[in-house]
Amino acid sequence: MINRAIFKKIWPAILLALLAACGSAPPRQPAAIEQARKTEQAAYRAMRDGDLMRARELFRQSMLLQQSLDNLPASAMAAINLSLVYHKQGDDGAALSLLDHILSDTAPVYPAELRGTAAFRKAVILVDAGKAAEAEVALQQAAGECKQQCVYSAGMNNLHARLALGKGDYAAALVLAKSVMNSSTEKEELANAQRSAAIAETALGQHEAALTHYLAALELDKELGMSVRIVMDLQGVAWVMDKLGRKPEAEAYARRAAAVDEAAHLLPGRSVKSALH
Amino acid sequence: MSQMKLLADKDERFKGLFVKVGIFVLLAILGVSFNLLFSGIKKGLFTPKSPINFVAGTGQDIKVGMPVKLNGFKIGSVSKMGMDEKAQARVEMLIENRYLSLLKEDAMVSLKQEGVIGDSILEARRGSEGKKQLQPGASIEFERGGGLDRIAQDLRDRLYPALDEINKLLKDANDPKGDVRQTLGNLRQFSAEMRGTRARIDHLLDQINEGVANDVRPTLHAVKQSAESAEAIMGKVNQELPGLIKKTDASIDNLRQTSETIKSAVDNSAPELSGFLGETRGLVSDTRNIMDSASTSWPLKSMMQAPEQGLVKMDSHD
Repeated sequence: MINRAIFKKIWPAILLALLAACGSAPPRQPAAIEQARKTEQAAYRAMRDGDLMRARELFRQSMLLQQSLDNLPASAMAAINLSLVYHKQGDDGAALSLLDHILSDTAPVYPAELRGTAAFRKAVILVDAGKAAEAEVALQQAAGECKQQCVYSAGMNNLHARLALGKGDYAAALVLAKSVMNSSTEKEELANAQRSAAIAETALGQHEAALTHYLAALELDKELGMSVRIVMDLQGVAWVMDKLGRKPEAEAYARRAAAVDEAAHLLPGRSVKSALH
Repeated sequence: MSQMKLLADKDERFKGLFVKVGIFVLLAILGVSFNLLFSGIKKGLFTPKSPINFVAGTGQDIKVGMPVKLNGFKIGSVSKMGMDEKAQARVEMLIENRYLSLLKEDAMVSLKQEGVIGDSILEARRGSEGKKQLQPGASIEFERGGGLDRIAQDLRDRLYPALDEINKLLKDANDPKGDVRQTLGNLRQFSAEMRGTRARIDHLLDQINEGVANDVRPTLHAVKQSAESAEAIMGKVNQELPGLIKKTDASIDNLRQTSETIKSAVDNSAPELSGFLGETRGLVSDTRNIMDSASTSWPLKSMMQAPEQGLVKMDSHD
């Protein structure tokens, strides 16, 4: 039993020692692993800052570093991230080449989850490029890689909805979009589903419902801070309001869409892909 | 009052109080004085110094109190600054007498930076060995040196005249009234006249064959005229060519000097620039390491957002 008087004297020292223990930095990893980690973090920062050129270079470095360390999952992740940057820059050829490498049978066996993600990314790029048939194949492959619940199942349903919209099958698109709205909790996919549903409803003449979905999508996209999609939502609202005979409001929304679009175009770091749209 | 007197009288501790306080205050004053004296000696306040002057085009980057160094040792400092009648900066330095003997009549000072991003200092150069010792109150030369700005300025100063020469040469070559065009025109004219002379000689030969002696004279006269003309032109060409060649030589020389200037400037600045970049990179790397370590340590760890890793978040419309 420690004497109370002694404890009273040494408790500041004990507190100091505890604080020092809390404050000590975590142990360092080997230099190459540390470098790979830092490169990946720097790539993330560049991506978040909208510096796609730097992000591309850093993700490429990260991929090569991880490959040189035989870290297959990390190198696949870096490759998928790099493909996203290529896609944003409008270089779909390079993006698909990276994803095809992950999906190829001759490539090292990457984890199924990452192969599924790669297939999903490939489908998104192909849908954007208007290659519906090839996108369907990629989507099937993505579904095949999912043994149980896919992390990107909401995204896959949204992609199916986009394909249905492309084919003019608005009823099917609406069903798929609503299934996402009922099941997903991801804000991005929920907003995408609301927008797809609104497009389908506009085409089906259900303007009131379309307006509700466009406004819901707008709210979510504003929360997410996605300018390009805010423009799409505002334009959709303007279009539907015009159809509903609410001309002054329609014009106001159209002006807002134009203002957002103009400001977004003037911002640095805007992706080539959004510029092409 | 009587109570206090009673206490003072009886308490042993108050005996000799005035003397004790006096000694204490004296010791304190002595201590402070020694401290001030020691600091003054250390700072060279009592070291004998002599004024040395220099004139700079501008007083930019020169300040009162700025150290003057010789081979890395501080030998004095800038004591006074003012503007002379030509609006130039007149600077007085106080150089410690023990170091003044090291400086010669042709000693110089130059404005430099300590390290790549360090403070500005005045760097003294001793001067030639054979020269007399620098006298107090003398004036010495000043030059601005070192620093990336200076390198850029120097490069610009050396490049501009050479580029001007190249411009002048090209302008001269393109000018219809310039030497190059004129000479070429004269040569062209000479060639045309020679062609005419040949035609006339041919004609003369024909005439001779036909035996028409009367026609020979005027034709020969024409030949003579052409020859004279050719001679005059050749004379002009001979006159102008050396000048032209001289100009071309000067221009080529200038081009060579330009290339040497660029090469020398690059050679001089490259090590400094690479050093500068290396230091900057090191600084950034160190800062990043500190920030990384700090951000992963308590208490910042709990305040910082965890760095993103893995797959970038993407959706079906990205």
